[in-house]
Amino acid sequence: MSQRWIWRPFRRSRSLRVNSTCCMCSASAKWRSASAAIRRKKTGSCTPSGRSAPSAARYARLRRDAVVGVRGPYGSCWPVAEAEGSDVVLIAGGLGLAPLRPAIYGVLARRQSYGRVVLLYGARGPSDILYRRELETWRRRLDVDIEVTVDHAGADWHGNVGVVPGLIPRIPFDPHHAVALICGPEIMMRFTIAALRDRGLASEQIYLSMERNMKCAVGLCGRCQFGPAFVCLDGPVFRFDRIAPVFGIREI
Amino acid sequence: MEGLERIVLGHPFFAGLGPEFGAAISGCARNLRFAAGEYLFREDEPANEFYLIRHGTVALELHAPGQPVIVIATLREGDILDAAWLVPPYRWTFDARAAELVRVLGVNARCLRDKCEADHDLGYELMKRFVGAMGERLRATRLQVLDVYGTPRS
Repeated sequence: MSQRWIWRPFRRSRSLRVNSTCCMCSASAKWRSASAAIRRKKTGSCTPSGRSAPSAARYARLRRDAVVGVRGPYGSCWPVAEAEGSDVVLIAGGLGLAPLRPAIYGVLARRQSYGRVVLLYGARGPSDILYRRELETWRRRLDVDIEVTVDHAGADWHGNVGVVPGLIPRIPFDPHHAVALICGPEIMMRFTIAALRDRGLASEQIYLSMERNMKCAVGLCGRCQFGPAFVCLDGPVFRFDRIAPVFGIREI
Repeated sequence: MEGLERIVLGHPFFAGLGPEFGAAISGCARNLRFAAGEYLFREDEPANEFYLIRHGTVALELHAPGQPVIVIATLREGDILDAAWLVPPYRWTFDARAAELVRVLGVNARCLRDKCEADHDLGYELMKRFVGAMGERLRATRLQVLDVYGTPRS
């Protein structure tokens, strides 16, 4: 526990330009790494894509080997690099598209390194769809399969109506060489995992982002405790086989 | 008829079905085509035909007076359209609209029911498939009703 309180400088190890409007930067230290996606707007200023550090603009301007202090949550990140060589199935529900978006950009930036890339997104209704413009842009690509489904819609909606797990039996991927990244409400993730396992995906091939409210973000207060793990330190991205024993426990 | 039998046995709902059953079902079946916007059936109409989607998307709709139409689900290639034809009172409980050009296999309900009654092996084989499909649809509907994206996570 005392180790967590030692001030450890992070070093910016990688800056990946995704496209003209987006870059991904990652900082690493010997014991843990953190990453942040920074969206560069047309004005030239940078804003974080999620609730990352407000100093994102300064962070993006840093040169290699500059020293950066990161307070936390440190956490884990999507296994975008580890998934290279496999099919990638990205599954988001509701607001879960926001945490998954950096992974989508990461995969698209090195599109040639992956097999099939599929994005499934479920929302409450057509008006609740997040990042609509980006979804439309990605959909125009010929090398990505995108399915958007909503729970309820009017007759003017021409897309899918139904739940995300219902789309899984018909999407193209090789279950023996695929990685699934999921973020959404837990109950949606539970049904989604069941559908992926029916398709033959093993628990080791499934990664989830567990959302728990955090307070201290450094593994002290226990607000975000998830079984034996802290979401702020060990998560939010977990490989499913590592949390499967506690995932179904109602009290957790 | 051989072609129709091949279509019947090639539909995912009938995957793995024995050829003798395939012949029995295709004896009651025909190919149908619906243009975009056309209705396959309307709520409360007699369910005289069992539909299996071969191509296209079908929107299942509910109407309430003075309210806009609500699409409760979309079904696609490989799906079946309900089992209302199988159990009394043999009436559809929603509208089914072709959202685009739709090709379906239509199986005459009375013809198939009579064959299931005469050959319980066929009836049981079909019943297992229907229970599986209906159970899956019920689970999906439960998840939809929960409105999981509607309430903020605590």
